[in-house]
Amino acid sequence: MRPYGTYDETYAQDMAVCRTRLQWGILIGGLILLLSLPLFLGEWMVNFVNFIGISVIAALGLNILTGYAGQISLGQAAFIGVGAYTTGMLARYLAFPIWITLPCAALAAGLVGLIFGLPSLRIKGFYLAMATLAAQVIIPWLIVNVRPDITGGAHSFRVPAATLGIGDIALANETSLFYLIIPLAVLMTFFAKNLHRSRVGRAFIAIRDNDLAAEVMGINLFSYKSLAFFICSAFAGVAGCLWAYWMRAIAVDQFSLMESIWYVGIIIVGGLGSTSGVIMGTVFIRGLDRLVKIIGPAIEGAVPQLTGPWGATAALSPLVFGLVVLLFIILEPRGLSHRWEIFKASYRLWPFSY
Amino acid sequence: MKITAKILFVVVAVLLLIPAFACAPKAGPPAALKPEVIRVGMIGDMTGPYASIVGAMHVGFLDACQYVNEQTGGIAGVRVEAVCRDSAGKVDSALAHYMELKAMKPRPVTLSFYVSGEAEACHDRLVEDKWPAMTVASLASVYPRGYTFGLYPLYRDATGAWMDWVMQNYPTKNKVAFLTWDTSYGRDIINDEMRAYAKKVGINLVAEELFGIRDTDVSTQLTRIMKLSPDWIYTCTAGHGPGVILKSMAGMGLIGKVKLAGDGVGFAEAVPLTVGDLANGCFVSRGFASLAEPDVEGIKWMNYYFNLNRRRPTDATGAGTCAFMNLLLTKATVERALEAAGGDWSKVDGAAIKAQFEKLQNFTALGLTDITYTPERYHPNKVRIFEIKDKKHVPVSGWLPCPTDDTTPMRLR
Amino acid sequence: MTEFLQYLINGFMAGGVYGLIALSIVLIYKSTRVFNFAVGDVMLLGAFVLWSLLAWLNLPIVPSILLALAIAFGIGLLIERLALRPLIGQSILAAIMATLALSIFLKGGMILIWGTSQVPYPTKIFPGTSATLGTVTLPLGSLWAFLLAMAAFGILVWFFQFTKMGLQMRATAEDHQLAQSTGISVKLVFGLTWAMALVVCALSGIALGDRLGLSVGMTPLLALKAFPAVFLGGLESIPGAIIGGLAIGILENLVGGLINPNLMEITPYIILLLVLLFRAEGLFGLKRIERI
Repeated sequence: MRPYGTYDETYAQDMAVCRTRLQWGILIGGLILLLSLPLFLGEWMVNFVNFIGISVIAALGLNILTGYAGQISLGQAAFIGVGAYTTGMLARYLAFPIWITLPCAALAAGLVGLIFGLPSLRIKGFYLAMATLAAQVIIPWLIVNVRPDITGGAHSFRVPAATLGIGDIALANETSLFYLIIPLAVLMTFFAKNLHRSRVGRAFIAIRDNDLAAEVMGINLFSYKSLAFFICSAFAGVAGCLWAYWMRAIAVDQFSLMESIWYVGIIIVGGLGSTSGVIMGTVFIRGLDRLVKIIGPAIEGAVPQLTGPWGATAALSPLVFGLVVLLFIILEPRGLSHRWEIFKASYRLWPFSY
Repeated sequence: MKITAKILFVVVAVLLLIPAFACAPKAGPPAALKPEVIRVGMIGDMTGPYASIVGAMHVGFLDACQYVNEQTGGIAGVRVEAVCRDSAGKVDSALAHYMELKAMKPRPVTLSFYVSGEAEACHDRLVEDKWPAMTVASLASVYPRGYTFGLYPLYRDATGAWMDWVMQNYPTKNKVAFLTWDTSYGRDIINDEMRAYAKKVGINLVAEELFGIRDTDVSTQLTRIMKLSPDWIYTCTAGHGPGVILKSMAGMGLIGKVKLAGDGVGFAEAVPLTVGDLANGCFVSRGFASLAEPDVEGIKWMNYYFNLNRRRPTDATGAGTCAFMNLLLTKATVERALEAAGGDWSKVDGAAIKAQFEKLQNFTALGLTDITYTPERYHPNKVRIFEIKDKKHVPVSGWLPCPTDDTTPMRLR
Repeated sequence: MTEFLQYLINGFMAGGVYGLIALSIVLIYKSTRVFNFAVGDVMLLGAFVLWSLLAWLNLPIVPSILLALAIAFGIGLLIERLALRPLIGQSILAAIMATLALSIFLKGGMILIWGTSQVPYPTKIFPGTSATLGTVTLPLGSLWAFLLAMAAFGILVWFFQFTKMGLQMRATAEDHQLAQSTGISVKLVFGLTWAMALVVCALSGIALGDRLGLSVGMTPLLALKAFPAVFLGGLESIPGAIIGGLAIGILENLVGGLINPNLMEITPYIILLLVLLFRAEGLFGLKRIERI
C-alpha cells in the first residue's frame, strides 16, 4: 500500500523505499535515536542490542537464501562459526585489525557456504535442507579435529579485542562494540533491501517461485543458487566476525544445530522474504528469550515448589519459544511483517479498511 | 471503532518501549557501611546439554545459602542471597546474565560458573571488572591467572595424582588407557604433559580414545582398547559419561576384567544412581568429600538441608558438594577481607577479596575439602582416591598432593 | 579378524535403533509429506511415560510397556490434530519449522514434569547384559533394540500389504486428493499415521533408555543420527528405513573401529552428502520427476 498522494514519475521513484518526507524523517530520526542508545541505556541493554545486531546480520543472510531464493538452510550457525574462527585466528596469530579480518571472515564463510551449496546443482527443496544439515555437523567436526593445534580444537579459543589498526585503540567494552556492530547492521540491512530490488534479487525471487520457469526464462539456476549461498554465508561470516570480537572466547558448541534452528525460527516469525520482518523477528525472538530468563526466576520466587531442575526457569524458555513459533506458524505463517503490512494498509485505507 | 483501535495500538507500542528504558541502571543506595544483603551469583546450564550435572549444583547452592544464613548468621552478620541464572548451555545467555548480575546493586560478591565454556568466555571480562569468580577447573577457565579460581584440582592434576597412587598401590598393574569425551573438558588429559608424566612415573599409557558427549555406546572404542589389554581405563567425563562406558563395558562382558577410574567431579554420586551396581569397583580421584562420609561436618549439614527441602534423589551428587564449598569459600574470603580492611565495608571490593583467595591455606570448608591457593596457583592441588563400594564413594587414601609442576607447567599458566 | 566381526556386530546393534527411529520418520513422511524433526523428543516422551508408569505407579513391566505404547498412540493423535492438521497445504518450510518448534516445546514440557537430571529406569526392562559367542561379545541391550526393530518392521510390512487400513494409507501417500475422492478419510489416515509412528518412536526410546537412562538434555540428540539413515534408505520406503539404519550403523562402526573412532560422528553425514549428491532418492526410494 502506498501512502496517499505519491505518484511515480521516474523509475527511481518507482523503486524507492522511502517515498514521502515523513518516511525520510522517520528513517533519519530513527537512525539517530538508534545510534545514541548507549547514552541512556544500561550495559545489560547495550549488550542485548549488540546481540540483536549480530543476530540481525546473520538472519538477513538467511533471509536472502531462504526468503528470496527459496533454498532452505539449516546450517547458518556453522557458517557463522567459520567467520568467527577465521576472525579469531587472524586476530590472534597475525594481529590483523578489524578492517582486514572482517572481509576475510566474510570471504571465508562465503566460500565454505558456496561449497556446501554445490549440491543445489542436483537437489532442491527439502533434500538441500538436509545437505545443509550435514554441513552443520561436518563443519564443527572439521574445526575440532583438523589442526586442533591452531583452532584450539574442542577448547575455547580466546579472541583478542578488535583493533582498528590505528594507534592502540581496542574495542573492548559493550559501548564501543555497539558503535561497530550497529552501523554495520544498518549497512547490511540496506544492502539486503537493495538486493531485493536489483536484478540479482529478482532472479532469486523467480527461482523461489518456480525454478523451472525461471530456467526457461534464461536465469542460470546453478550460478544464481550458488550466488545466493555465497551471499548468505558471507553475511553469516560478518556476523561471525562480530560475534568473535563480542564474545572474546569462541567454541564450536556456540555454533550448533540449535542455533541454526533459532535463525530459521526468526525469519519465519518475522516473515520470509521481508527485510523489516527480519528485524522484527530478531527483536521478538531474542527479546522473548531474555524476557523468559527474567520471568523464570520471578515465578520461582513466587512458587517455591518450582525451583531447581523442575523449575520454571528451566522449563519456561523452551516451552515459550516452541509454543510461540508453533502458534505463529499455525496462525500467521507469513509472520510479523505481514501483520505489519496489514496494519499499515488498514491505517491508510481507513475508514474503508476491513 | 477503528480510531480507538489505532490509538490503542500506539499506546500499547509506547508501553512496550518503556521497559527498555526501565532496564537502565537505577542509582543505587550510597556506598553503605554495612550492606543489607550480600549476593552470591551462579551462572550455569540448568536446562541444556549439561543440565544433568549442573542441576544438582543449583540445588546445592540454594541449600548452602540457607545453611550460611541459618547456621552462621550469614557473612559477617549480613544475610546472603543466592542469585542463580540459567544459561541453557548457550554462551550468549551466560554473557547476558553476566551483564545482568553486574548491573545489580549491590552486585554479587562472587560469581560461580559451572560450564567450562562459559567460564572461559567470561574470563577476560572478570579481570576487567575485578570480579572474583569460582569455577570448574578446566585449564582455560583458570589460566591465564586473572580473577578466576578453581574449586578443585585441574583435571590433569587429579589424573597425575591418581597415577602416583596407582604406582604406589598397584605397581604391577600399570597399563592405562584413556577413554574420554571429545570436548574441552574431556580432552584436558590428552596432551603432551600428561604423556610425559605417565612415562616419568612408570605408567604405560597404551591408548587414548575419544567419544562424543552424545554417544550412548562406546563398544567400538572399547574393542580397540582391549586389543592392548590395559589394566585400567581412565576417563575425564561427567554426568552420564562414566555411565555410558560402564554400560558398554557390561555389554561386552568387561566388568571385572578391567577397572574403570576417573576424575572426581564427573565420576560423582550420579553414576551409581544411574547404573547401579555396575559402578562398584571403580576408582575416583577427587578433591572434595563424598556424600557417604557422614562424619564430615559439611556432609552432615548438606544432608540436613537436602532432606529439609525435600530435594529429589537425583540431586544427591558431588556437584552439590562443590556448590557448598563455593559458598563457604565466599564466606571465608569476604570475612577475611573485611577483617583486613578493619571492618570498613567500602574497602571490601573485588580486588580485596581476590587477595584473600590468594592467601587461602588448608581451607577445609567444614571438612569437605582441603584447599590451598597461592599467588601462582589459582586452583587447589590435593585429592583423595575413592573407591565405589556398594554404590557409595568410600575414601581409600588420605589427601595426596598433585604433581602440578609436571602436569601444568608454568608456560601453560 | 575378531575385531572386524565385533565392529560388525556393534554396527548391527546400533543400526537397529537407528532403523527404528528412521522407520518412524518414514511412516510419517510417506503419508503426510512432513519430515518429523521432533522424533528425538517424542522418543524421549514415550520413554518418560513408561518411566512414570514404572516409578510413580509401580506397575509391572509388561503391562506398563503396553500402556505406555497406548499412551504414545494417543499422543500421536493429539499432536496430529493440534499441531499438524492446520498446516495442511502450507509450504515445506512451515511444516519443518512446526516440527522443530514442537520438539522444543516438548522439551520444555518434559523438563517441567520430569526435570533435567538423568534418570534410569527403576527396573531393567530387557533382561541380560551381555552374551559371548565364541570370540565376539553381543551386547544384549542393543540386541533387544535390534529385535524390536525387526519385529516392528515385520508388523508394518504385513500391515501395509495385507490390511485395508494399510492400503488406504498407501493410497493417501500417493495422492491426497485422489484418495479423498475415493472416500478414504484422509484426516483419519493422518491421525493414524502419526499415532503409529509415535508408537514406533516410543519403542526406540524405551530401548535406548534401558541402555542408558533418560535425560532431556541428551537423548533427543541421538535421533539426529537416524536422519542420514532415512535418506540412505529412501524417504518413502519402509524396508529402506531399516536397511538404511543398519547400513549407517555398520559403516559407522567399521570406520570407527578400523580407522579412527573420531570419524564416527561425521561418517553418517558424509554418507548423507554422498547419497544426496549421487542418488538423492536413496536405495529404495522413488524418483520424483518434475513436470512444469
